[in-house]
Amino acid sequence: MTEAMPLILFLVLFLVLLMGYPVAFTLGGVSVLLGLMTFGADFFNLLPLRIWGVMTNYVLLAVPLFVYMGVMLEKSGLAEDMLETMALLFGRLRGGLAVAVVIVGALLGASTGIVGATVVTMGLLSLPTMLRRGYSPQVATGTIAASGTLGQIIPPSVVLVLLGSILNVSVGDMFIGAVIPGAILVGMYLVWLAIVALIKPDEAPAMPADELAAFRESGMFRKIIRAFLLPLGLMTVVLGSIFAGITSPTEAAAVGALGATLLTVFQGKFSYNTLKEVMKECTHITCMVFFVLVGAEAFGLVFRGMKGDAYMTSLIMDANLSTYAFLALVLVMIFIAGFFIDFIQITYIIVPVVTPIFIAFGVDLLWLGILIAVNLQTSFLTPPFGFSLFYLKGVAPPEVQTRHIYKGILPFIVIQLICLGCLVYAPMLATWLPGLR
Amino acid sequence: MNTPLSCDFPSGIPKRHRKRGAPAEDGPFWPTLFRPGWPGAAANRKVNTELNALRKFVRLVDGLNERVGSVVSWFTTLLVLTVCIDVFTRYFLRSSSVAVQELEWHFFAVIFLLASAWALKHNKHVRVDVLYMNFKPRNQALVNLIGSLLFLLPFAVIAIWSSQNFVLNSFRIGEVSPDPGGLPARYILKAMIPLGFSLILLQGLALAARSLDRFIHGGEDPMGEMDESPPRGLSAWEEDAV
Repeated sequence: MTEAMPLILFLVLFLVLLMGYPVAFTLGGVSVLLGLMTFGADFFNLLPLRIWGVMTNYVLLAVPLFVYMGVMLEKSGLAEDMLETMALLFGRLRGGLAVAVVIVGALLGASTGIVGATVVTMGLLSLPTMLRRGYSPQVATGTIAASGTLGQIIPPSVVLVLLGSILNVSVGDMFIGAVIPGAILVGMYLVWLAIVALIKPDEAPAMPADELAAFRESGMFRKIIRAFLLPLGLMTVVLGSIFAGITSPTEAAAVGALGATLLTVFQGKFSYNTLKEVMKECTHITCMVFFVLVGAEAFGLVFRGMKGDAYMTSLIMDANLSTYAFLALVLVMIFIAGFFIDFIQITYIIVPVVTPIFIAFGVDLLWLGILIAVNLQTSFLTPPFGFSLFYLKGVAPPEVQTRHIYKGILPFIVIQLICLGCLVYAPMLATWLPGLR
Repeated sequence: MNTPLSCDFPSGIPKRHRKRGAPAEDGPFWPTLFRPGWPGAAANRKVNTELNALRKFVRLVDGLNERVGSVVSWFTTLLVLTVCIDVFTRYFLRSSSVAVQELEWHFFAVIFLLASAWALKHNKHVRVDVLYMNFKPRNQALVNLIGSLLFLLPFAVIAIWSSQNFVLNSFRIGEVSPDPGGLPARYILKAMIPLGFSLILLQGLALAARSLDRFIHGGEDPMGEMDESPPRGLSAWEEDAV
């Protein structure tokens, strides 16, 4: 009975989480209740120490700062301008608008890192336009849902910061390691869109010529510089300084947040209300992320107290799994968990439990982190439960049906799986660049 | 949030609770459990007073956390500026201050500890909503009622109770930063743990009260919808492009 307590804790938690009460408090509440039953109240004297550990974690400080930068870019309308300019820039190409969506999605999602937020923004911004320009609902929704999740893997992604802090891998290394896989994904997305534009030109048309002409006349270059090159430059500086090892991710994030604010001022879009909105949103997201972590600390405390880690390890070791079989098991588990719970919970609940076992197997944790990130991203895209699809359906016009979204996302899932397969067979894709540093 | 002090439904009495043929907009509000003229009319008035007391409490807590949250949200900007100042002095002036660096994570800790109750008020804490979003409003209220009492309440109480000694010990020895040049009075930061959880406890009780109110009224929220910011409207360029 006492041996199986950790397993009971796990199962109760997953069942209760499905009820839908906020995760942070469900996690904390279930752990506290089961902990009280097993150990009594004095056991929780360790809880403040754990919370203190979250408060003093310098690496995690990067999260609110990156969120600040992303929310500022979004709320100030810079993201919209960027999308518009890119759309017109690539407008001559068939499928150009979709290309713009992929690139902006990758850049924008990267900073806020919250799947729902990015998909909703991209859906509201670009779906009606794509449909009106004659894109088929499948192509339009598939592109948006997939690009909205790109932010999970493209640095500076919040997922990578959290994973890095839990796996004890430097966040800078995680970012660099994600560059090649991220680029492969974006590249394959673009290739797929090009194929669609070639085979079915009426599903991914070019922009009308007169609109493009109007764009050329109305100061195209100024627009390109202001709405595209400047934000891109900001991203480059932020990431570049991390990659070059000049600054820590936290410092780069703060400079990025200040840069995004200055950019907003420079574009004449800064106002007191925007600032207040940004601060409010940033505070809410920060609280949401870190309270799940506080809840997870309570869970971790009780789980450790019940000798859950030793129990899990012995369970796996007794099963005599090979490294790859265990990896497959964990990836499938995370994939399925990704249908129901957000990356934050997965990172905080599942990853700490399996990490010691991977260390015992001698697995490269950097590689593991990137695999988990790509795996999660795929999970968010996969019907019938993918998060990204729900959010997109929520903001789509009524004529877009769920089956359109499912059909549209299918090729992107295949792309994701190809990328995941490549990563498993060639860990070099993730570990080569960080190794150069 | 503008909630009227009376307990009227914002949009009249819900249809299924109206007497046949009665107009929608007039007449006092009566809890749906009892109707005027029924034998339970006296009990009805009592329920109403109790609900009013609950609503008063909810409004009080909402107001408190709204105020705390709006102030604390400024700490995000302060955090950005503090880290930038630190970067500037370190890379350009070749000097760095321990106090500034400590201030960074002090701000960060205060943000997520004190504003979490505010985020709860605005329903910003992530839920596993695969099932939840398909529930009827009445059942959603039930989930929130049970969850607040069964999970949030014990979690917050244990966190407050267990952090007492943590803070008191720090206060007794007059704990300061272990690093030279660090910030004094570390117990103030440590006190943010019980303080933040107290705010969460209050907001959780308010959520329970509001959910109870909502549950009694068949899913309608007599105090107005819980504040959830709707998705952003269509963008400006969308309209330009038409």
